[in-house]
Amino acid sequence: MRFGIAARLGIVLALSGMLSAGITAFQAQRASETVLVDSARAELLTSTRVLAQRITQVREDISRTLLALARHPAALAALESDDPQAATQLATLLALPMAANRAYFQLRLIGAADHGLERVRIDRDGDALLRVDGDALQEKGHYPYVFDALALAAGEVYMSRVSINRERGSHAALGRPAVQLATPVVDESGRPRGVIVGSIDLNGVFALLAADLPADFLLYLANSAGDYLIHPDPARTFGFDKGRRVRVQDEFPATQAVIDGRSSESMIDSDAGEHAQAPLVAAFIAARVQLRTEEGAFILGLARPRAAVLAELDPLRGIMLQIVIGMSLTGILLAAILARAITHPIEVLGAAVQNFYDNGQAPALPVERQDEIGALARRFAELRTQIGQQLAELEHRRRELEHLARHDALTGLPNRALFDDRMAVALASARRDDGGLALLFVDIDDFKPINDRLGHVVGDRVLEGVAARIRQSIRESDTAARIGGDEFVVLLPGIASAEDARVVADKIRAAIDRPFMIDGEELAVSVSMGLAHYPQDGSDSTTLARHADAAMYRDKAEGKARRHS
Amino acid sequence: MLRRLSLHRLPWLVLALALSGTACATEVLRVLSWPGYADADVVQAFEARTGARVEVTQVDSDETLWQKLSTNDATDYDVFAVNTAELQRYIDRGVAVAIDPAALPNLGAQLPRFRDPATLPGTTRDGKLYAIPYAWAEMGLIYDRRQFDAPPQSIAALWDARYRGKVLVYNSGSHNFSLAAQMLGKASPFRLDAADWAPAVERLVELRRNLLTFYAQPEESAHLFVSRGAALMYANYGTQQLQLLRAAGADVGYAIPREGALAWLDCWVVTRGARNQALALAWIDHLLGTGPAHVLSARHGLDNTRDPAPHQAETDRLIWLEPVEDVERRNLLWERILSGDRGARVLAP
Repeated sequence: MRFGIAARLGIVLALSGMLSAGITAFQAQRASETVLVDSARAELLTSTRVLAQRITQVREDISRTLLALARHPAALAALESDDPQAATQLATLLALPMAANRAYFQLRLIGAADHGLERVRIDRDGDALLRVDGDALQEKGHYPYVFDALALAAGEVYMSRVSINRERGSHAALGRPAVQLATPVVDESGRPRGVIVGSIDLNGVFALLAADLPADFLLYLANSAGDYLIHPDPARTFGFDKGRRVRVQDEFPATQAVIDGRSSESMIDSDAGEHAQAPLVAAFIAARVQLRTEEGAFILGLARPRAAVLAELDPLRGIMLQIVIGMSLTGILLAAILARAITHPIEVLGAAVQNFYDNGQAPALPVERQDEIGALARRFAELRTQIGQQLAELEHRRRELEHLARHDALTGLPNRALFDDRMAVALASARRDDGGLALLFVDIDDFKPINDRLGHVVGDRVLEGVAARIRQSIRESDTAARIGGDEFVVLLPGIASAEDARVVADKIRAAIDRPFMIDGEELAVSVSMGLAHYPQDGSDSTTLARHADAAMYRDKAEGKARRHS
Repeated sequence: MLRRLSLHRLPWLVLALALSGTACATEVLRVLSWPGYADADVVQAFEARTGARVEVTQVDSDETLWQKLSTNDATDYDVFAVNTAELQRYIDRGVAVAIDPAALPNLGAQLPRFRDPATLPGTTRDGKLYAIPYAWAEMGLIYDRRQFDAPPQSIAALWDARYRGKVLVYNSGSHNFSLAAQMLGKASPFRLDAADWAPAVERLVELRRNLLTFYAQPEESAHLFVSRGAALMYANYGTQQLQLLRAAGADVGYAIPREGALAWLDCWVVTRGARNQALALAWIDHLLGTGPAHVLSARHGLDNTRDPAPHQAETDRLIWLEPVEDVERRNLLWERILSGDRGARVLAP
């Protein structure tokens, strides 16, 4: 398959158009991806900070509740007396925040005496609140939330480590991730007599806090050592409780700086290790706890699948695809137009070359263009003009040469060769039509003396004058020729009778007999003439010529006799 | 120009490769081990000496070890390490095979207490030797020298009211009931009779009331000991905790109580599926040598069976861990005690 310049040029232009559109779209998409991922990380970081603030608010709310309960006279009364009334009054108070806030697993008053025996205890049990009493109350003095909280001053709040609650009989809290907040109850002398302890449902709190996060956000919470407390995969939480560590820095190595305290936040593009298949964009911060606690900081993080982040590009991708297709089609169209614009003038030039001599058929050359094509067309037009002129000149010369070859240079009359041709044609025509013709010889009398006496120039003028008068005396269809120095012959085709020919001969003689004016002097010239008729005098040109010649010599002799008589 | 392998030579090449592969396969020893028991340099020394290749598979829990050896009829490994208490079910199942002591010249260099099967319950059965002691640690008492005039002599110190709120004990049902059994003067701390449960629970509730708290991790125990000014600690992790406390600047001592310290002992065992028993025994004998023994003590802080332990006398009594009479009952009752239940409620059905 062969492609013309237009097709090849069109393909190249269309391909380069498509390529440039594709590259532009690709680069734009990459740039957009970077911007999107960066902004997603920043958004995650902001969301994480907001979440940390909300956690702090929740914790402060709970702290305020515990402090209010610890300061309430009913708490001290329940510790100092064995009056069931006092305990019941506090139980009523403890039930209020638990009813209002599902984050509480338990609210308890625990005494410093009797090995930390629980005095008043409300447990959440399913949807109900349950007061645990009597023998079911347990000694909790060996738990840090008791012995560490008892060491606090009034108004301070203790927070335990986050762990799986293994305290048997704790109802809804059993086996669940929980954190204990506690504050001491002090008597008038400032001596700690017990603690108010709130057991908080970690997952419950976070489910509430994270409820308005977008569905594809993944929530991570780890303790200060990096052990997961909350993870999208619940099986990976509280690994230390099962004898194996599952840590955030193992899944997201970049969080090590946050855990070491070298950095307060970490924005991560996690696409290695377990995230190689489904990369995540994530942000982690260290959330310090402003409480008496062994826990130190929590590592809080939010992540989104990178694919979900980039899904926001989908509409843009569609538009880009349309642009690429549109630009490609435009490129193809432009390429076609451009190719046509370039090849059309070439075709015109080609046609012009093909029809070089046929000026009427060739399309107009685009000489008016101000570009390379125009220059080429102008050069070509010049060339064509030059060649045309030279050809015309050659033709002229040729015609001239041809004329010279068949005419007498001095008089312009046909020479012998042309005359013979015409004679042959006229004879053939007469034979065919059964018509007649006449041959008339005309010879200038005493031409040599004129030439000798008056010079060749005058002789030539005489010859010219005779030729002109013969031509004026004959029909258009007759032929007069000069066949010798002073000899002329006239072919009269279509002459029916000798009379007609005689009339013509007389007319010629009369014309020549008028004196010639040469250089202001009159000169008389006479001619002798001989006629021959076809078919009467001969049927071929030689015979006719001989007859006419003889007739002319007779006339000359007669004429000489007339002049000398 | 490239020279091409002519095709008619290819079958010979394949055959040669196959033969060399077979030759190599006979010299592979498949070791199922714990972290620190088969370090790269120890393995390389063995490979250099025997010309065999060693494939080490690490496990980090008794459950994983059991799972690997109870599948495929124990044919996936030649030799493995296990503690004496766990060992019994491997003997029961027939995974472990008897060992000829004569094949282990380095046995003669072991401390006397590891040479006498009578003091090592569990390594023999029906007069046959099944396990070679390798690494061990005991659970002694760590005390604050400033709060003790003399080292504690008995585990009764844990119950001493003078140290109320200053005692730390490991959070473990099995071990703590063994501790209670020792307090009750039982012959074996691992065998509680029906009548023993109530007094044992009573002892443990008393223990709970006397201590500050229970710990789980060595680092946690050292932190609690220093930050809360503790006086006495039952050291489940033994000298590892001692090292941590001394590193933290605590003035602490280490004592083996006269009732005896519970101790775990890891042994090497040859599997029924061993392809080359002689090679497996050569591996065990290699580990009993001075080099590997030194690596165990100096690099990993575990006691080896050649050198006397630095923190105890040869006469100190060690009680090697054995399977207890009822793990689930101990754990259930322990959870109730830990949760703060009182007296009769702990023993409720």
